[in-house]
Amino acid sequence: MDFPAPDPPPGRRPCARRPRVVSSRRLKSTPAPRTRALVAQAQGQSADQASDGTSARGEGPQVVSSGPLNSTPATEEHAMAVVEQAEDQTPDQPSDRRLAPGQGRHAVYPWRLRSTPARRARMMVQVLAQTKTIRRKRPRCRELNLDALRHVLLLLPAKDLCRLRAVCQTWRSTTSDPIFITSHESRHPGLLLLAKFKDDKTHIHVVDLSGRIVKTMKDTSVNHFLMFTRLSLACLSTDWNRCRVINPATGAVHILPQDPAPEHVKRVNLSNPYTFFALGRVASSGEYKVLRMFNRIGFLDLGEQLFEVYTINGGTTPARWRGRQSPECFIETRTGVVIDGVVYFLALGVIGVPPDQIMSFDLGSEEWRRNITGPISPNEQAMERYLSRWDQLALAELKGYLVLVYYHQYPCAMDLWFLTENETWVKKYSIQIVKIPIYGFQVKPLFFLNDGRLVLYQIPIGTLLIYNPETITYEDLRMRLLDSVGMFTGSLLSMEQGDKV
Amino acid sequence: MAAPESGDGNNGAARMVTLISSDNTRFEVEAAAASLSQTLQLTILDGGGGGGDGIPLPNVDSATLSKVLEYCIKHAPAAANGGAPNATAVDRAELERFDNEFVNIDQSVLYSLIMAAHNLEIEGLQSLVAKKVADMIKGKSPMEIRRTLGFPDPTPEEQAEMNAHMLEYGWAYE
Repeated sequence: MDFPAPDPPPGRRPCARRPRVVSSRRLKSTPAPRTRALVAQAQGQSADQASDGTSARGEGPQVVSSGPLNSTPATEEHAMAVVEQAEDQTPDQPSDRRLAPGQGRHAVYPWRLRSTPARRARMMVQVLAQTKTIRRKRPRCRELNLDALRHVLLLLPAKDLCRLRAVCQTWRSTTSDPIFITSHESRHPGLLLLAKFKDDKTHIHVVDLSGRIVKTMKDTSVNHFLMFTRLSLACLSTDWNRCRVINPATGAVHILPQDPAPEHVKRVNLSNPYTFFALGRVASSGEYKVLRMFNRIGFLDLGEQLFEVYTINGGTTPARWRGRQSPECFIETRTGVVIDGVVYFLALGVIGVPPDQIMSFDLGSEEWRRNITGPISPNEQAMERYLSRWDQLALAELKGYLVLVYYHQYPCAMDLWFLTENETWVKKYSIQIVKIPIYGFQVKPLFFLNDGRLVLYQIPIGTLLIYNPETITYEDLRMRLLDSVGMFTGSLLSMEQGDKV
Repeated sequence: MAAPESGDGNNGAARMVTLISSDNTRFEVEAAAASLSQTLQLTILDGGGGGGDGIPLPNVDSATLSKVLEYCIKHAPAAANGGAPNATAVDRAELERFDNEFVNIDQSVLYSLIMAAHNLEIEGLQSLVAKKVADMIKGKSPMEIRRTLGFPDPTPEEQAEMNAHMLEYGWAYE
């Protein structure tokens, strides 16, 4: 091997004979690209020209001799610089980004030329050594004053903002600021749903009413369905004692323990527990609590219903289920609905208990409250009609009120009784559901839109309908078929993991 | 600028104020126009800016200030009428057209404009420019945004951070 003195002949790699270069590279003390380019510049070459060498293609020797400016390395230093840079090229990949002269910035940072993982890692090590000096010289992303930037960012939807968090540190911290999130939420009050689709049970989606997917999360649970909640958290459960709480903003998952409360250990048959869960937020403390009910069906009687409460505390202290008293009569679990930290149930339809009697459990005090009598039983005629057919009652939360949904068969209609502030029942809507292709009680009223239209969920089919009470018309939302659905009231920008999940 | 309802008595003919940009250029405008700026409004109400003194604006250069004043002069009559009530649809359409053209400018000007609007607290201009910048950002990838807004290329560190973030927020890129 001939040593390629000033003018390297083709077919020779000068670096092969330069242990100094190689070893210095191994020691990571090689002058970093910027320095090298500057060296080249000092030797009479412009930084651009030096970088031109880096974009030359082909095997080592060609690299060195290609390009008019590199054919005669003026000094040893320069030859080193060129060879070093040429080495960085992956020979079998053609250089696709040949730099035009004048792109000085790129010349100074030749690692921008091609980004292979190996190169990135190597360059990172080299750059780390000199970040301090470079950092100071680089302009930070502060062209916009922070307040002006906030002004701009507030106009963008949450999904865009989450993407923009990658732009730079300043943007990240701006969009993660709780005050920013709050004011963003008030400017973008769009309604978001949590949805699990029938054709994809391995994901949970945050969708808007047009069916556009705003966010997708992997769902590792098996056969869990989304409970209909109206919170910034989602609750997934099965009838067989599996329950998890998810924060859709952060993706944090909290899997609740299956073991019963100590006082219930001997009373619960865990091999076949029929369970019901309800997640609610206690307004006074901001805590999220889950109510669990074990339904033990007896052979000779109705068996027993056991109630337990669990506080979601972010796993900071070991949490466990706490046994709580049962109400005086049995509850119909399917009817559970949570409003402001209170879980409401209809009584189980047995002789002697009016079917519209409502029991409620306060998640804050963890006690049962006074029973509420529904609007049907005081009306004898209505009662008679009701008793001819069971399971025509359901509970719902609409406009913040507890609503008793009463499905009629003839004519096919759905009455919505609102429990007003002074504890009286008012029938505010009577919805003709004969036009809906399926029968009454399989239609669940979910929520009212701002314009007074009501969103209905056709449970067996999995579609959402919008009912307009003024024109008595229905509109199909044409979403993918839903397996289960909930509402998401939080902000997707929220970063707080804290004591929530 | 004919201000038809400006016969407030004490004002008489439209009162003029002088604004001085950072490079010492003097701009003479109607007080009504300058008052679109919350910052200037107080000074003007106190009787400042009249005659020879002028109000110095050390944060705004003359090119930006002339642009800002162009906006203020155009929007002053509408603002004086208390916004929309007796503005006709034609007027509003005309303002809208003006706004659209107004922000159709070079990015560097846009930046100095957003800063000036912020410093002078001109609400309308602020949201107009913010909207323009937001439109520039919307639907773009972080890298495109950095290029659009003229940020320096990321350091490998920043790049790594960006990649990690993109993994975490994969859903936002779909």
